[in-house]
Amino acid sequence: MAPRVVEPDHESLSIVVLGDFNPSIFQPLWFSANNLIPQEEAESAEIFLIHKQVAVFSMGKIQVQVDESRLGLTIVESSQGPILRDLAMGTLSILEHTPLKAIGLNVDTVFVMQSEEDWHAVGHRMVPKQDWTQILDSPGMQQVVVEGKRPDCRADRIHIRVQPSGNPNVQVAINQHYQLETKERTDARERHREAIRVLRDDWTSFTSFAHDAASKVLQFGQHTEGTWHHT
Amino acid sequence: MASHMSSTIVETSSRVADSELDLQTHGMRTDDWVWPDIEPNQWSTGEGETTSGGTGTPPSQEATRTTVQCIPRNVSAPVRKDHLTIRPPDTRVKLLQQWECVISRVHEDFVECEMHDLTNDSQPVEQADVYIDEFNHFDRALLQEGAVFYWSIGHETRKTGQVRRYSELRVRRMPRLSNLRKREISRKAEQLCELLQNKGK
Repeated sequence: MAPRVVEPDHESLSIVVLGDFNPSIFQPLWFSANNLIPQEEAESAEIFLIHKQVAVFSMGKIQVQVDESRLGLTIVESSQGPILRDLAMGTLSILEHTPLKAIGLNVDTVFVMQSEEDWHAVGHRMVPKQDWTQILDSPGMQQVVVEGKRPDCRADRIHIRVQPSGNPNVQVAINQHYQLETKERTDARERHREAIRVLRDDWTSFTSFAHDAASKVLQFGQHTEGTWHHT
Repeated sequence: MASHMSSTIVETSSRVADSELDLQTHGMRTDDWVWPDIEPNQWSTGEGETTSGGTGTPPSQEATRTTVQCIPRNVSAPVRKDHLTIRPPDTRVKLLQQWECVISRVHEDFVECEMHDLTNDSQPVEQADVYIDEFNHFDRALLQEGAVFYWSIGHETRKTGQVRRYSELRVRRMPRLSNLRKREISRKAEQLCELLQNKGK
């Protein structure tokens, strides 16, 4: 039986930038002093940890995680997508001398399946069990990652990861990755410009693509009843 | 296939998910731990101390001294990076429609704006008047001609199951331009002007 389509239960959007960062400068007041968030949100920010190796805090609905090689900005409410994109653009504009290596756009969606049977059906569709049962008892899918590209998109690769997220939840995580540090792009300012371009030009189409893709992943086999067996 | 996956999966992916899978028996690297900073006066020295003034010594200087091992006190336990994951939301918002609005005119108690549909870009541009009272207090100072704000509407569901209509206006914020950037923009504008003037001749 093919899994029945369900509405997403919740999702998070994040922008991850790889580079050489100084986590200790990332503090809520730094963001408000640079006009990136309202001062009121900076003052009421919830700080989890600020340290020379890592900074973790939330300002308003945005959660910030920075370590020496990675800056991650996340929201857990899709309505905040444009705000997240603007914050990332503003932050990178200020950090124009920070060497950047890569940027990734992410949408992670959790679906609650209608039944345990539907939950298993997703795994069976992704990883048919006939062959695995010859090797293992009760084989179960832990994670599937598929890599590909999108037409008319300059991203280096797209990863779609599907995994169980507790019973009966299924998580679909989509990552659109751009390598900024390449042989052709040696100038740090050029990499910055490309990162800003990605955020300005590709964010909206990426989120639309990701929403469609996540739903389609769960609809695989919707019209062609499978032949696999329930384990 | 397995090595291909493991070499590329980490990079710019989010770390949101991380269900029980990540908590299993994966090896832990030493750099997975973060030790909170320790202020000098948080260090105490044991018997045999030769320093004076009560100032302790951080561990990095310890090797150069002949005192006994310094013992940190009032220091938080180390935090594992994997534990710094994204927290789930308290409420769930189902977004029905979202617009990017460009302010065309500001009046005493409302703004006129052009609304561009972000949820369906095939929709035509619409005009609207929005009361200034609808904006957050901290956003009102930013309302001026050309400013952009986002208008989101949907349904918000709380953990208790309570559902209510959701509407939010947020004004776009961008950093102030640096003098260098301003000069770059002026130079580009001048170049464009020259180009257009030359074309007109």
